[in-house]
Formats: sequence, C-alpha cells, structure tokens
Amino acid sequence: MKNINYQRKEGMNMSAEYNIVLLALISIGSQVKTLTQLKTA
Amino acid sequence: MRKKSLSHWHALAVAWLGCLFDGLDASIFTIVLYPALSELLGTKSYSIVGYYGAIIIAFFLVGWALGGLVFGRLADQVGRVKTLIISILVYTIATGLCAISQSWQELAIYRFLVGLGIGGELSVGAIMLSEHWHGRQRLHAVSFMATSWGVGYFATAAISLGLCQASWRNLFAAGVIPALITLYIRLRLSESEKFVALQNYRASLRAENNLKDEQRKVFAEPLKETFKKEMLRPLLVIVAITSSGIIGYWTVLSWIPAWINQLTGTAATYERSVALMVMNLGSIIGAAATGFIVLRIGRKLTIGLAFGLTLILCQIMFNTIHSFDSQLLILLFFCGLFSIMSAVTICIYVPEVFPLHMQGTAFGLAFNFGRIIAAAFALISGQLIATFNGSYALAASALSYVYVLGILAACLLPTPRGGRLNEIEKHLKNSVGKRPTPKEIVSSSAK
Repeated sequence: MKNINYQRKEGMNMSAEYNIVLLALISIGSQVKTLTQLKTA
Repeated sequence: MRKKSLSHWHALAVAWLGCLFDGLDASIFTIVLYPALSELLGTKSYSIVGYYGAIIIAFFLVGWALGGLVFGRLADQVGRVKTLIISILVYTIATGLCAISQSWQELAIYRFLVGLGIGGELSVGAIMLSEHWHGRQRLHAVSFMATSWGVGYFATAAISLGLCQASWRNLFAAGVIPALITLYIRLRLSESEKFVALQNYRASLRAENNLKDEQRKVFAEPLKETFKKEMLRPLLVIVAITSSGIIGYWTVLSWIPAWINQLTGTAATYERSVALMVMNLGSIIGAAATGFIVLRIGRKLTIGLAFGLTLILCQIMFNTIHSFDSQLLILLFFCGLFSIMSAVTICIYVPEVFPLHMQGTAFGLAFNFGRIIAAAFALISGQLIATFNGSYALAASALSYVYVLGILAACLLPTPRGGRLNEIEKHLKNSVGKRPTPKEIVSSSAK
C-alpha cells in the first residue's frame, strides 16, 4: 500500500499544471454561462 | 424579460462570496489534517492521526448542524442580513483561532465554532437567494452560488501550494480574510421584498384581535411547524438525501488528501494540492451545470444520477488506484463534478416545499440535521481506518456505499407544492406583486 520510494514522474508537473489551467478556464466559462442565464432567462 | 434591480445582484454577490469563504474555511482542515495533527499529537502514525482527525471532523460537523438550526431560526425572526453578518464573523474569528491551537482538543473546539458559523451562513445565503430570484433564474442563481464552494476549496489548495514551506498555522490565519465581506453586506445588502412584506404583514396582524387560523401561522414557532404532518415527509426525505451526501463527503472524499499522503509516502504537498484543485474544478463545473440539468431531467433524476455516478467513481478509484497518477486526477475531477450536484439540487428544492415564514428554520433543519449523523459516521470512519490497518482507501471504499441511501431517498422525493398557496403567501404575493421601488425596500428594511 505505502509507496515509500515514490518520486514525482518527470513531466508530471507540467502536464498537471497545463490541465489545471485548462480546467480552470472551462470552469470560468461554465460560471459565465450560468450568469448569462440570470440576465436573459 | 424581467429586469433585475441592484439588490438582486448584491444578494447574489454576498451569497457567492459567503459560500466561497465557507468552502475556504471548511477545507483548510482537510488539507492540513495530517501535518497539523502530526505536530499537535507528536506522531507520524496514520492510524492515530486518522482517529483524532475523525473526532475533530465530528466536532466540526456537529457545530455546522447546530449553526444551521440556530442561525436558520434566527434568520426567520430577525432577518437574513443581520444573521448573515453574525454567522460570517463567527466562522472567520474561529478560523483565526485555529492558527494558535496548542492541542488537538483546542483545535476541535475552534473547528466546532467554525462549523457553527458556516452552517448558519450557508442556510441563510441559500434562502436569501431564493427570495431575491424567481423562476428559472432562481435555479441558475443557486447553481452559481454553489460554484463558489468549489472556488473556495480550489483557493485553499492553491494557497497551500503557494505556501509549500509555510506552517499549517499560516493557512488558518489566512482564513480570517472573509470578515471583510461583512462590511460589504452592512453597506449594500437589504432584506428581500418578500421578507420585508412578511415583517410588515406580521406588524399589521399584531394590531388585530380576531385572527384566522391561517393568519396565526405567521406567529407560530417555525420549528414546530416544520414537524407538522404535511411537512414531515419532505423533511425526512430531504434529511436522508442530505445525510447521504454529507456523510459521503466527510467520510469518503475529505480523506483524499490524507490518502494521497499514504499513496506517496511523503508530505506530498504538491500532489495533495493538485488533486484538490482538479476535484474542485470539477465541482465548480458540476454546480454550474446543475441548474441546466434540473431543468432538463428534473430534481429526482438529477439527485439519483449524481449519487449513483459518485458511488461508481469512488469504487473504481479506491479499489484500482495504487499510485498518484493522471488516472487518479481524472477520477477525482468527475467525483467533484457529480458529488456536488445533489447538494445544489436540494438547495433549489427546499424553498419549493416550505413556506416563506419557516424557510430559514426548515432549511437549517433539513440541510443540517444530516450532519449530526455524519458526525457519528466520521467517528466510525476513524475506527474503520484503524480496522483496515490504517488504509484510507479501503475504509473510504466501504463508506461510499452510503450513497445508496441517497439514491433510494431521491426516488421518494415529493413533488413541490406548486400552486397551493397558504394565507400568508397569498398576502405576500399580492404585496410583492406591487413591486415597490428599491428606495422603498431600503427604507422599509431600515425600519
């Protein structure tokens, strides 16, 4: 169960950070979409 | 199209910010659970940290439940705005106090107070939104408010990442920032037209001698009204649904950072932060989507599907993942996305079944009673972790079956009241129907 020798995989930082930025943009987009419904519904 | 006055937008801004800081202050403990308790207890044992962590989570949840009840009732009596200010001050000051804890008992007491304030703020914020926004817009407004919970959690993870080398005490100290929001509330927020009309109606009835039974209800004890026969079924079903979601969250999902510590065998500040950020970005998108999904497939199906999919994802995640990798992040994203939907749907549903004069109490009771049960389950989760030789994954996998309760309860969810209006609401409908100007609303709330 315990992986004492764990080492962060190479390239993982960049990949995870890129995906987080992408998801953050999508989440902002989803909030904006909800807000537009409040103005127009 | 119905044009909105500024007060609607202020209510939305306050509810969003309040919920954001709720998320921030609620999540700080889950992210610092292991380092904080390791230091306070002077141990590195996962079992011991898990055991005391569970007790503190239980304290927090009991506080949250009591806060929902106490502040919900207070909101029905003295108004939403005053209650909101008090509840925010309680949880921000208590979060600041967590930073100076010298023992686990002290931390447990401060977390109880944080829970008390958060429980109050969430209940009152959701009710206030439902009074300011109507029809389809109400669904989207509640969805938008709920997105901030994920933003709060995301912020905690991002702060934790930024303060990698800093002590867990600094994270708690950052939790006092929300106190500033009370200034904005004091300056900008007024009671809703509906609540002002209710207060005016109460005042007008006080002068009369022969009140009808329906009119007397306006002075009735809201807690007693909530337990009346016609309200009991929706109340019990909502309690079952919220309990399932809350137990699932606090005994399964909130252990994920500690589980990542275990998977990596290191402090894993970076990994825990990344995992929480991904999960909460999922919950932001899930919350924003809930209004649209409820409109398309209805309340029952949304709740049932949300619980069902979260259960499946938890089973896959805790039984197949043995290292920190991209597969785990994908599962966490979808876990966050689906797990929040049931809570948002209940926030939408509660004002549809309970009348205005008892909504604060009903919301506090329905949404927070489950937390008492969740507190008991949090203690069980501590025992379960010890039973599974300190394995967070096996304990979480077993406890995730609590979502089955939510699926079953969703099937029994009664249809909202629809057009059945009682005497009080008929009066309020006529009164609010005249749509007073914002100036009139401000001056009447000032009285």
